[in-house]
Amino acid sequence: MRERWDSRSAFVLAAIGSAIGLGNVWRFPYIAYQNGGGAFLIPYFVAMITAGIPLLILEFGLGHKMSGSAPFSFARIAKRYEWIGWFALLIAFGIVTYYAVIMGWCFGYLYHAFSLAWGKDVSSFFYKDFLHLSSGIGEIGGINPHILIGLALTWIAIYFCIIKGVKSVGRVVLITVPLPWLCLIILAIRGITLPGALEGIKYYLTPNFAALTRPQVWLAAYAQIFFSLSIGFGIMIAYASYLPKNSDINNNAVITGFSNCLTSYIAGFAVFSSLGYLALMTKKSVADVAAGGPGLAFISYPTIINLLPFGAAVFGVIFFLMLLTLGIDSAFSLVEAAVAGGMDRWRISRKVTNIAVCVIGFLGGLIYTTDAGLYILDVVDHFLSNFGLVLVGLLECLIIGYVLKAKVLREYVNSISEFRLGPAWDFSIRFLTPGVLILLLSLNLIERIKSPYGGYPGWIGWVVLLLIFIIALLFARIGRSDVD
Amino acid sequence: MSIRNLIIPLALIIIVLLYFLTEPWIAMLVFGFAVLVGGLIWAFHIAVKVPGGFDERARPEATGDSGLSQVQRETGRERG
Repeated sequence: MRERWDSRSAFVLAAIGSAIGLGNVWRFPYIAYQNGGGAFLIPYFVAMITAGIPLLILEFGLGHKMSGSAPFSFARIAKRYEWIGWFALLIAFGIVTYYAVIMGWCFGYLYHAFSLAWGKDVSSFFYKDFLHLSSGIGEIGGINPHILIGLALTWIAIYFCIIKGVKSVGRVVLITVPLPWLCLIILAIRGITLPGALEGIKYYLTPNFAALTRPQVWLAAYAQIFFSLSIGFGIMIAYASYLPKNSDINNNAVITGFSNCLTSYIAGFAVFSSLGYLALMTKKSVADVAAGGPGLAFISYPTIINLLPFGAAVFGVIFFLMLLTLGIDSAFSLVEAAVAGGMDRWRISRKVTNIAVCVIGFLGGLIYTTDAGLYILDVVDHFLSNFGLVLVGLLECLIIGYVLKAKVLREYVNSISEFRLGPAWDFSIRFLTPGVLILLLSLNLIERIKSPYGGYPGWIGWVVLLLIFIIALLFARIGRSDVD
Repeated sequence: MSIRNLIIPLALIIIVLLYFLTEPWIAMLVFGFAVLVGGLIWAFHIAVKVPGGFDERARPEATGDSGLSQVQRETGRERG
């Protein structure tokens, strides 16, 4: 008997928790600012409605119809497609190995926030004292014990979150979804009440409509939606497979998509109001201090916290607690997708699968705790996200659109959902989304052929992708499942 | 024409007025919240109309007689 969600709220919160992650805070605001400011909202909303929500519906619908994890669901379409499900799960698993390390950094910074241990030279603290960053990717050095402790704490947290599958996940998300929202709202209010905040928000939202004529801006909007909704990992397929038979699909996807985008939008206020304050205090322009990615979380934000007139430590703790709670449900959803795949394929108990996946994930993350960890993380992330994930999304669209037939899945989800989809959904899955993903993939490929990513040896990312592909093929052949 | 059908044109007029009468970033701020919060309100509004409400534990099985089809017909009419 397959596990079931306790309630619709549990499923929706888990899907929202999985979609909302660190990228909502450190990627969206910066991408919006770089691509037309307020005008970016137009392609972003178009991308959400024409590709993001249709893809969520595809994954929810597939998981629910097939009642299985990603490999199982693809195998039920045709056995020869099972490897696509495994490829998705292995990409997800590869990502969680370093995602857990970033969360380990958050654990470390949460501890340091109590005493503002990063001091005045925040950049030096992050790269030298905290990461012990070596001079290049070839100089691996040793494992950093404090990062190792953070990594271990993250994996222990993940293990306990998924210990009883969707039963425990359903309870955990009651805390890990509202808590970061609360932290985000506190930080946004604190941010917009600081001097200079208005200038920062103007940078974030002042529209540059001329940017909308550039195809790159539209592509950036589709890429942001694709990377932000936890699509292509097999997570949403696994989560939807635990839904009871009479569950809605379409409206749950709409709620998940809109909640994710609203979180990103609000995060922009927290980030840019604080950057406005930083610009004012350091007598620079907002453009000079604007940052995204780990640089925003571990350098810019601690610098802002240092400059706060009162309660610096409190806001430091709130910020890193927010990052931790934002990240944990994305992390355990990535692991749950892999656990569901393992359980479906090899008929192993949840307890054994949980332990095996968590231990392998922890061991896989050790390389990122070394002195060259940041370099390796950077290159692996680039290849898994820009090639692996986009390829999975593309294959999903092609298999559902042309093999299973989009119309078949549309009729299925319409039969159980609170509102109906029209043929426009078929168009999105068969033409629009694959077209955008092919374009993304081609542009990334051309870029990598021209020059290796970040000056790192070009072979590293390709080898990782090739290994994942081979393992996916092997997994599709060994063991047995009901599909066999 | 019901008030519900006027909401979107009214919101658009307000945003355009804000764009020209105040500063463009204020119009975009309102636009962002209007789309996202409006979308969520619409989704929850549809969800609570189904027999059993948002929580599916109380919802009858999705067979021909579930009540879902009635909501689908209603929402279909709204869209049409």
